[in-house]
Amino acid sequence: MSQEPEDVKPKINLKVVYDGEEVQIKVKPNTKFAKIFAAAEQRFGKESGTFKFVYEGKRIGKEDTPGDLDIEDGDQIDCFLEQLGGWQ
Amino acid sequence: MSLRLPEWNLLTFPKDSHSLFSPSPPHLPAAQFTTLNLPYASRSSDIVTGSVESWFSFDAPRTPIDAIFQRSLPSRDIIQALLNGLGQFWLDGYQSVVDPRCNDGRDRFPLWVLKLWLELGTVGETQKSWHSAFNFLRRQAALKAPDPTRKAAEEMLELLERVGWNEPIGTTGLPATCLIRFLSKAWLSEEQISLQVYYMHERLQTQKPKTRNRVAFAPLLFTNKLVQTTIQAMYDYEHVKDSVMRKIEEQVYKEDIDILYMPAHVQNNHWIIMAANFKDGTVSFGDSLFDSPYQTYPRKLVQKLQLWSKKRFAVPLNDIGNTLPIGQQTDTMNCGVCWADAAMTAVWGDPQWKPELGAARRIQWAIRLAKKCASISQTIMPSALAPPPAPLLSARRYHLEIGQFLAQLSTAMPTTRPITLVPSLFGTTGVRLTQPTGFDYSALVSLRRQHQTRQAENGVRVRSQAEPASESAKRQLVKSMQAILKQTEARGLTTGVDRTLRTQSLGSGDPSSTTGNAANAAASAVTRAREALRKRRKLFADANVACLNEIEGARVSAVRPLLPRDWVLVAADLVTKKVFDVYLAQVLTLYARGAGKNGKHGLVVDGGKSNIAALSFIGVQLYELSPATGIFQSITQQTVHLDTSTFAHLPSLQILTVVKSPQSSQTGTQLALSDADFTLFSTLRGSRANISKALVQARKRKVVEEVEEDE
Repeated sequence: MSQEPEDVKPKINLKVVYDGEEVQIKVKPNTKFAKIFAAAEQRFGKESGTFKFVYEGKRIGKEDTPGDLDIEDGDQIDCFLEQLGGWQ
Repeated sequence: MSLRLPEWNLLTFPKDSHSLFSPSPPHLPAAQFTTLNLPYASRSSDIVTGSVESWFSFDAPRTPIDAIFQRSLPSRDIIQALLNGLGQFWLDGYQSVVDPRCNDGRDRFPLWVLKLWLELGTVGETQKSWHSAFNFLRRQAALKAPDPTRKAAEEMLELLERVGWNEPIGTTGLPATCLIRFLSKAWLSEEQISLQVYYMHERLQTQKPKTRNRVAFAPLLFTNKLVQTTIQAMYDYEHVKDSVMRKIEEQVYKEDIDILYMPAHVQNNHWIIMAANFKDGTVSFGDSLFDSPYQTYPRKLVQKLQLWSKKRFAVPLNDIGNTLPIGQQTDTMNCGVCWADAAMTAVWGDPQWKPELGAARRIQWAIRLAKKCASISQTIMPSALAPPPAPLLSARRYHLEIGQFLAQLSTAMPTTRPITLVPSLFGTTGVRLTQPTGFDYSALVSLRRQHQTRQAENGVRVRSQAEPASESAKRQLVKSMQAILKQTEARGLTTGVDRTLRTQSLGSGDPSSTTGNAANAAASAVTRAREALRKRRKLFADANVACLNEIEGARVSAVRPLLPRDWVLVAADLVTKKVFDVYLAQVLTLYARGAGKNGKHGLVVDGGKSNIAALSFIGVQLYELSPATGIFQSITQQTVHLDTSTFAHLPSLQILTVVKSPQSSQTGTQLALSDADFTLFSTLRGSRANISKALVQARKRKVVEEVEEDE
């Protein structure tokens, strides 16, 4: 772990919410969201890449980190599946 | 775990060469992006054989990375397999990647080429999508297209000379690739809907609504959350523990929003607009398919919205249905545009969506959003954002903060709103609080809250099922057509009794009902009689009775039903109990057991029966054979002293068979059977011991059954 000098900040808890269910994921502020997405999708039993994630109305990219978006401990991240509509 | 990081580093691109192999920065204008010469995607003709190991080498990387642009990309599956094996190969000392497809596998690429291939694959797919978007625009910009469409397409083409192919749009976090869907005939996804909400939200900052109402737009996520029961369970708390819901609530409360517009996803394939009007206390929606036969009423969403408003703001919303003006789509893809244009019409009075301008309106949305990209907005649009409106004092949520509200009202009020309404307490018209300190509602409110029923607490008022008074001609036409179709549609096929009845009634033209209690009972009676007939046959067969063919069904059938005045041969034990003799008899009355569990025995009045076992008892007059003459006499041995006829009430089991009418003497007291019938009679009489056995056996069984029942 000596190769990770950034590991001085405390970990933060993210609340990932999907369809009324929520899971807690503990991450470092500099963890890339790609990794968090994979964890969340695994927890909800979905294929990787199926979820879309939103924090305070803003779509989260794979390369973002919680630190970039000023996410604080206990903040809520919403995820959902694609919704399409045109006709019925 | 400690090896994970170095492994990850293997795939990191070296910093100095980044521009070289990543020729597509997100801000590269889309028009230029489509002309880039990217390595083409793998084709089905690229057959790759060999193990994963053949893709790795112990040699140090030495081939310039540019070489990969001259050939196709390996397929995604291969790359994924290589990535999966990478960790172990690296530990084993492999240092470079080989491309066995080209140059006889002499190339040696650095390990991070795997990740580069993966990324180039994604970029290549995006390039393809942009290509088709450009083709779409060029087709729309052709001369024969309608004027607005052509102009919009031309403007968009011009914008795409500057908009980055993947640059972020505004502050949404969504990339410009999301615009591609607007530039095609594809259905819109929640990404485009979010962009539309974002645009309207931004427009609100610079342009006041036409109607002077305070307006807000809720994101799609809000409508999706409304229907979740876990959210609903939190309505009773002081704060809903969901950031999205809370944000909207705070906005409605602090800015004293009059109308909240929101997109909604219904039927899993359709976008509609909904509006909660807190000022008038109404909830309405706009469905771009409402005039079509595909319309559905978003009752659930309406109810959830009513519940939310009632619980959180104590404002009951009255459901006024599909009253939000919205363009009616005639195509199969534009509802995602219709809803947003309806919102723009309602708020700013923009022209309504029209089917003939479908393509133009789609492109216009792409234009509006493209202008939010940094590369456009920083050059043309001055970013003069109006300061956020000062928070207004809200009359809502009085039930939570009534005291505080009244206190503020008495000090700071009458500048902006001289008359304040409390819309929730006494209906939507409210009570005028001209002297706010004069009356303290809090006691009333708390009383009401303590004593209200659960229904009053949770219930919402829904619109009655009655159809709207004014229906468009088209809708009326569709309705009447559907009614005709429904009428002619065949009734759903069923099984069981229904099916039996249906097949029986085929061709008979019998209009009597095929369902109902009576029909069910009749059907079960038929089944029961058939079962009894089977038992009768078995009984006689077991006892080895002669002429089994004749007596198993007593020659009674649908063609020859048993009727009163028929002649039959019967077995009766008149002289000695359990010793049966055969007699000729004439049927006088027929009795059958009624339908149902405890059916009564009743006289059969409507003709005869086609199944002997369907009858329970039969009243007959007996004629006994006089052995000397071969003639049957109405006066039997038993009644000879009384000089009277003999009658008997026999169970149907004792009716052996039907015979032809005998020849009668003038007085009617002496009868002669035909030869065939007399032979039958003689044979049966010869077998009377067996008949006795069978009939005694039949009686026995009843006794046994009774005993069983008693236990």
